Amino acid sequence: MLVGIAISLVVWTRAASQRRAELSGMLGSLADGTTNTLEWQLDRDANAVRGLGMLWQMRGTSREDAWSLDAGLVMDRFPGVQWLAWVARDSSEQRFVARDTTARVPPRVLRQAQFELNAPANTILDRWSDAYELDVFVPVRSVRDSLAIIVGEVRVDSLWLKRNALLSGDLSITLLAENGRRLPLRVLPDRLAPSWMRVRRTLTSPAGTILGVDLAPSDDLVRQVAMPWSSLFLVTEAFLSIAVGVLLLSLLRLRDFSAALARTNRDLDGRLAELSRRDRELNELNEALEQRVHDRTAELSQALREVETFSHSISHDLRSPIGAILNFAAVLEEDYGARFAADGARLIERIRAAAGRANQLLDALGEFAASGSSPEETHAVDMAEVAQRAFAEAKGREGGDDDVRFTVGALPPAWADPALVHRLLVNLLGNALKFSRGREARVIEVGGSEDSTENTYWVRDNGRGFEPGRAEELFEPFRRLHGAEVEGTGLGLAIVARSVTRMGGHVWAESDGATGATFSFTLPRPGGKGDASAGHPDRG
Amino acid sequence: MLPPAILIVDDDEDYLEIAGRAIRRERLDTEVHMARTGADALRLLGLDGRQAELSPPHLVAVFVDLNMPVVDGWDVLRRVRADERVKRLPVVMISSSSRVEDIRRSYDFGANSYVVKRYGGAEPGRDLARAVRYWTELNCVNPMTWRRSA
Repeated sequence: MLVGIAISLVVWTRAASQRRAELSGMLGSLADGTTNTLEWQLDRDANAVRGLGMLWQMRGTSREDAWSLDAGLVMDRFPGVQWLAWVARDSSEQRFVARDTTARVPPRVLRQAQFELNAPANTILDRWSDAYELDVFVPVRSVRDSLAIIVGEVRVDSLWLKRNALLSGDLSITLLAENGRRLPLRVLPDRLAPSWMRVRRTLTSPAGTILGVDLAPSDDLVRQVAMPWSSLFLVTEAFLSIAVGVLLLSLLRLRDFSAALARTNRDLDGRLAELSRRDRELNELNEALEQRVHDRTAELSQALREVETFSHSISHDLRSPIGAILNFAAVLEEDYGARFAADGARLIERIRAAAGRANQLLDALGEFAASGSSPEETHAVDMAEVAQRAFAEAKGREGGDDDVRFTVGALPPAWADPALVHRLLVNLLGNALKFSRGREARVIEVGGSEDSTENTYWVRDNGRGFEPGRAEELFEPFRRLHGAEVEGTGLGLAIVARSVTRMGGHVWAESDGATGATFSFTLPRPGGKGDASAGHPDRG
Repeated sequence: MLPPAILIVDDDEDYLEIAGRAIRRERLDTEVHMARTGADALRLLGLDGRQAELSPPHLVAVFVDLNMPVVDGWDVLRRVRADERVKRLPVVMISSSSRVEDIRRSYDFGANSYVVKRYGGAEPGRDLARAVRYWTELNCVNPMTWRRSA
């Protein structure tokens, strides 16, 4: 942009100086022509005045009337002379003013001429009656070497001047005296004409006086010549101003914009830093949390493994000594029973019973531990068949129970671990057998139903039932709602609940506390939305 | 002719006692050897690099308890199955565990049978004694038992 401005300025300056040189040349030519014309005019007028003087010389001191006559002759002879006036002094120093006889001379001009003639003798004065008239006073030495001075006043036709001025380029003229004093011919367009437009020429008057002539172009010419440049300059200037203004504005806006951008940038940087800090914190928290979860899970898994290992080893390690007690008691009874008295035999039986209960408890503990492990393998299970087998096993465990009427309804097949299902049914049916003992017409039923997400199975007996409000407690390990009259380890229903939960189902129990109990459990269907954490509606 | 021999391995001395009694009650014509540890069993079978004290065809079956310290029943089973001299010897696992995974693993390692120890019933050790009868008298695969039955 700056380079563009510099180039524009250089081009403009060069064009202007070139144009100025051209104009100066043109003005010079005009000035030459004008000067020549003026000289010629002055010469002619001077001749006229000389002729007048000659007349005066011939006639001697004439009277006023004679002058008038003579003047008229001169004017006739020299048509260019418009007006003549002369001043003479006689020998007695008396001033005599010859008056114009021309009717065309306005009285105001005459008065002015008289006034001017009172000035010192060889002074050249100009007289300007109006804008279009040029009066020239030419000093004329008297032949009679008197003091008389003939001042010839040549009037230049305004039309002539104007015409020539126009022809010569509309120049205005200033006459200058020898001492440089300016002789105002007219108001020069100083304001408009720059000094370089002014042209100076010398002009020699017929009397031998060297006159300086300043020629300056008229207002119109100046306008004509200068205006295009002014306009161009103005336009260029305006253009440059606008350009510079736009440039400055752009720079300012750019500065503002870049400042705003920098602010935004700083702001964004700050936010970014804040965000990344939070992200870091979040990550750290997350990692800490994950680590804690990981640690806790590991601890829990470890604890679970320890518990399982513990219960496994308890049930195994206790099994041998208890089994040994049982076995040796049996051997004692079988091989040496006959040698004991009745009391001894009873005591051996007590030993066997106690060891048997311990053994049962160990069995239950082992089952309970196993029921907490994940399902071994899951596939379709014929529940009716499993129920029959489980009932047979449950019956075999306790012995007796041949009076029970066992019915199995239409059971939907389950998708489960058969071993787990078998174990839980053995426990449920064993429970039903246990609590229906001593009742008339014992009935145990197994039934089931299905919906879109899960299957529901139930085992119903007509035994003694339980207190309706304590259904939840039934499934807690070692929680027994009955006294010693009902045998049990206290783990059967806990094993059931654990097994069902492991397979993603729910278990619940209902009873009126008098006419039996119903134990129900659900198993999720494959593809159904089985969710172990969802509560069953019947359980509230 | 020597009666066929069996080896029973169990760290539970009580059970060995009961087992011995039960086998005697069955009146089997069998030479019963007992080992208290898995390492003892390997030594008797010559699987520790030394001379075997018991070997086929005189030895017709081995009964091994699953849970023993240091060298357990599965270790014994695998060592037997890995040795060319004894790899065809019938091995019966004995355990108080009835866990499916224990039974399956035993068969995976090449056990011929699996006997669950039962406590508290009449005639303790009877299940084991019956298994011994099978592998010493009824099994026709072992050349020695086959000759005897013939």
